[in-house]
Amino acid sequence: MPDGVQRFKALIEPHLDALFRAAYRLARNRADAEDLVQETCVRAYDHIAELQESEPVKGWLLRVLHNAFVDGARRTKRSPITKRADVGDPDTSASPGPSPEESAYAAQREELLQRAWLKLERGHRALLALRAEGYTVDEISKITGLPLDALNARLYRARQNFARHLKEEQMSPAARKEVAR
Amino acid sequence: MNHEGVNLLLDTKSAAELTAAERQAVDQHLASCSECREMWEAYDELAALRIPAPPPYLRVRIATALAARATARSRARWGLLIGVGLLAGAALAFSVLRLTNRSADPAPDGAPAFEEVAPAVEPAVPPEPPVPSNERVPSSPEPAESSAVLDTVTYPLDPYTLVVIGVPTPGTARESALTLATCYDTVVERLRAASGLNVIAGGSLRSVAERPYPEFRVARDLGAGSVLQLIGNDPPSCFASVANVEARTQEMVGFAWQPEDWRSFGNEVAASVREWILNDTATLMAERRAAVLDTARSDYARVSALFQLRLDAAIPAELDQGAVAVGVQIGVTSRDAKARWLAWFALRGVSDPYMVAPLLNSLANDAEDRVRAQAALALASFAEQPLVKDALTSAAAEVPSEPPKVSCCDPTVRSAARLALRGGGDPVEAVRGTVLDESLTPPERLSLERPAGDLMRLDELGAEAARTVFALGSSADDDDVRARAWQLLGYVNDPAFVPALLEDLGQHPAETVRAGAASGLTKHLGNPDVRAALERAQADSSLRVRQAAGFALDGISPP
Repeated sequence: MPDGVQRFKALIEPHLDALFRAAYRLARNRADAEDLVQETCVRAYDHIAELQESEPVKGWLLRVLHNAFVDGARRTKRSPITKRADVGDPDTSASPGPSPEESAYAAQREELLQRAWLKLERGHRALLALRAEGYTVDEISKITGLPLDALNARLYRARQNFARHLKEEQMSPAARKEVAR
Repeated sequence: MNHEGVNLLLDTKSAAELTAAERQAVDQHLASCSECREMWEAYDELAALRIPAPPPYLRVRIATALAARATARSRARWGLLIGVGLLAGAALAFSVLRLTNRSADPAPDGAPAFEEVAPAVEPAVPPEPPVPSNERVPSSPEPAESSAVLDTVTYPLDPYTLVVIGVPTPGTARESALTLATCYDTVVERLRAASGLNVIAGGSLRSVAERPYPEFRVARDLGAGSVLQLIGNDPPSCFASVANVEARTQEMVGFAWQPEDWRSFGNEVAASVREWILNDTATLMAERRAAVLDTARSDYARVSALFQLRLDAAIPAELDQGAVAVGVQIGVTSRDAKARWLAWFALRGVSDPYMVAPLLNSLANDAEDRVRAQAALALASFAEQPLVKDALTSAAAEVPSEPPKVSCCDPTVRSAARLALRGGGDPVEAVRGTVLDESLTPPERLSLERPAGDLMRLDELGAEAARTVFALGSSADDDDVRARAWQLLGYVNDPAFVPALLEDLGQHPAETVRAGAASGLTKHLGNPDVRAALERAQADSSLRVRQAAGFALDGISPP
């Protein structure tokens, strides 16, 4: 492998988990999350010259990821609804042993959340995903380039829209059919 | 406190950082404001969704993508320099031509060449990545470090990346070129719907057709572990072949020759490629089983799925009864002759006793000889039964039927019946019997199909069969028969065949024969004359010949 790539790989390696987590929150399925991380790394490699010495690598990478996601219409073709097997990681699954009814309810609920999530515009999704991942508004402001005032207003609208979409989904024919089963 | 105030507070401080007064204010607002309460409950639920750990292969995937990127950029830079040089050279040459050859002949009339009606696909060059939209990460000069990357650098290719390339056969009709374009679009669309694969639409090969084995080069430049070639030809048809770039192994994954097949063809190619790369056989088998049973699909689509099931079944004889019943029903009742043909083809080697009566019926009554031939071959598993034996013996004595037009050397009713009668024992003996049967025509003798379906390699049949094939090729007036014989010799290393193959490779007017001769020389690379001739053949005017020579030089025998 070329030296330059080796050096770059060493630079990004410690942050791949964080990138994947953020990408998964955005994409809500494993395949698209992997694609997004890969695209982020390739873009970052192309623009490595712009990384300032004083700038934290992780924040810079998240900025590239954010841009790649907001730009990325080409990943929308994949099915957004994740299979259950794709979500559960045996080591990190929180529930020690839910009953079949609980599992079924959780699965239905997650599908509803995902459908509502996908109705959100990409910019709003990016903000909520970063916030849910635990980044502060200051950090998100640096990542997205949005001034704090605008960011706060957009976060508020993003949450409002998400709650509205979730409500709509709960009342959708598909949701009613699921409940009736 | 109003909505915005609560929102601001909860976004800027964690729960632990809130003062008692702030907490009280937030609680009071949420208790009285259903809108805010619902908003925060929905968000909290979203934030609590589980995130899986990154898959273990992600690091390898990223590393290979980066290495591919570095090399592609390095090549792109060199390509640009060369391109500028070539353009300058071309401009100079053009000026000279204008000065010296003002009365050049206009292009000849006739059917447009492929290049004039090229499919609407992108050129086979590495796509430039989109520039990030955020102004804080603008486009920039490339990092200095990648300039040190050499062309000779090797790196692992991404096994989950596939390049799709359309390969037109030069000189084919306009309709064939358009057919290839449709085939390409359909397959790319189906592949992109398959999760877990990075699909790069590599476009048409014509821009780099002069380079040896360009499909592998293109794939390697892009860091792709696999390449899917879609090959268009006359009559309008589309072959699909997937290859592993590193191992140089390849597999035929589909063939279609009628526009109504595109959809099932696209699905099948995508499924086979997914299986080839992702190895998720169990899922695919379940999908195919469902497709076989799906009455909303066309007969041809259902038997295509059956055929794939049959290919993947560990023991063909144990194909499940539901699928067999569907195949039998389509084989007897479908109005689509192609579907009937494929149904019996798919059921060759399967030994469900339920099949016997319908197969006998088809062998006796089907209007199409190619369907009857497949019925005869599917009866090989039951050749010991008196009724079956009688029917096959009667068919084996038939007057030769016209061979199918689609490709040379498919079995006829009589050659199939004879093979089926011999097929109960050793399949090698059965196929050798076909090759050595002097009462059959040369195309019938060159079939080499086993009763169970796949082709036998000539080296498995022994020296006498190889000499017979050589003699059949040498005496053949029909170019397709001659090409077929030469191609079969690609597994045999008898030096006595070399002079004739070299002569045909260098001089034969038919490109199929020259390509067959190139394939036939695969096992003679130790002979310097052969190597030199194959290298010369890489400058042949025919893409087909150049490709066959490229594979032969790599020691890859014909499929």
